[in-house]
Amino acid sequence: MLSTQVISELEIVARRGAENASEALSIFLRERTQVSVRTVSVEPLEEIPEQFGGGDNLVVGLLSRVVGDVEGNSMLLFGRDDALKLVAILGGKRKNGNGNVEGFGELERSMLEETANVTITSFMNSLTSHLGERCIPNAPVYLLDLAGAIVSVALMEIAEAADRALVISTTFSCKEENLSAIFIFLPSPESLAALEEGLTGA
Amino acid sequence: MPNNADFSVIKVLIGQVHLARAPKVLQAVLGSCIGVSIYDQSQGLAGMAHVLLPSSGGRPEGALPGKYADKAIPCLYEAMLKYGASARNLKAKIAGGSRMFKTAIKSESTDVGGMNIDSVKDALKIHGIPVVGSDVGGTLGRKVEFRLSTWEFVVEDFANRRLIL
Repeated sequence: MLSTQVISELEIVARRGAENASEALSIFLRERTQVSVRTVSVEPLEEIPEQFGGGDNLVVGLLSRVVGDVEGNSMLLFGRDDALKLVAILGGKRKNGNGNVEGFGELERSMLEETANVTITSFMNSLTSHLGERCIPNAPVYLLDLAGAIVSVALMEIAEAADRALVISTTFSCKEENLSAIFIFLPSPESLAALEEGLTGA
Repeated sequence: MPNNADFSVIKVLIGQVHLARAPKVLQAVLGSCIGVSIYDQSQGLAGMAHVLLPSSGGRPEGALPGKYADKAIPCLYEAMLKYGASARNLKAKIAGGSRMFKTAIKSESTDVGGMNIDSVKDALKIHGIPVVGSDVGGTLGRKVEFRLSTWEFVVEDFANRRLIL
């Protein structure tokens, strides 16, 4: 279990990451974009999918494996409607049909993956500069599916050795569209221990 | 069915094991995980485990008795017998085990979904429980509901596929 001190340090890192992401996304989206940290917490694994409005909500998940000194999985999740709004901001085709496997074309998927790339990289750069340890995100991969199904995939490696995981939950909004998304970083148990050591100077 | 019959839905979250009596509903949302239900219709009793990983590798199950297939099935089996099920009446229905991300993360490159399917089937076989309904594999997540009023095991995905096992 992480101490209050470590959680506070992680909140500082997460807020810096959010500021970096706000700047980078504002340039990328050509819209003033504000990323805000909602919570930094350690959650029981089984509760994490429920944070997305219920496990059977349809979401777009952009999953990136983080490698380096701190390893784990990170995800940016949008509700399907917010993903459609974002695609429209980026100039992609906005589709209004029911959710289906072909909900987004290749171009629209690339737009969402690049948005996730900018966001996740901003957070990891913040962590790297704070700890002096490398955290390198791989290119994010798109998936449209039920929230419970997507999140459980990212949890698997953590679940091998732990019943709880670190969740950094954020929202972000664009000036015109007021869309929101959730970013979570799930470090491996070994990396969680390394984070704790790095943040407390132990 | 009495007027005050309890049709409430019990969410079976990752790693959990729940038992319920008819006419309740056991529900889970699955990706690579497996939703395993064992039931004794004559006793009006069913259980569901939400299995995340194929093998405990000797690790304790901790707070989540359904997390590993090799621990979840014995736990479910023993709980069913404890609450009045008869071993010879037990049957199983299973769903899940998708391979959702092929390359994004390490765990999926080894097809944990497929390993989960094999491990669950092996554990059920060891306990002599026949699998009478199964919808496993593929690349999409699933929502499953075991409706104990009708004993229908309903499997849906977001592409509007719907099966009743």
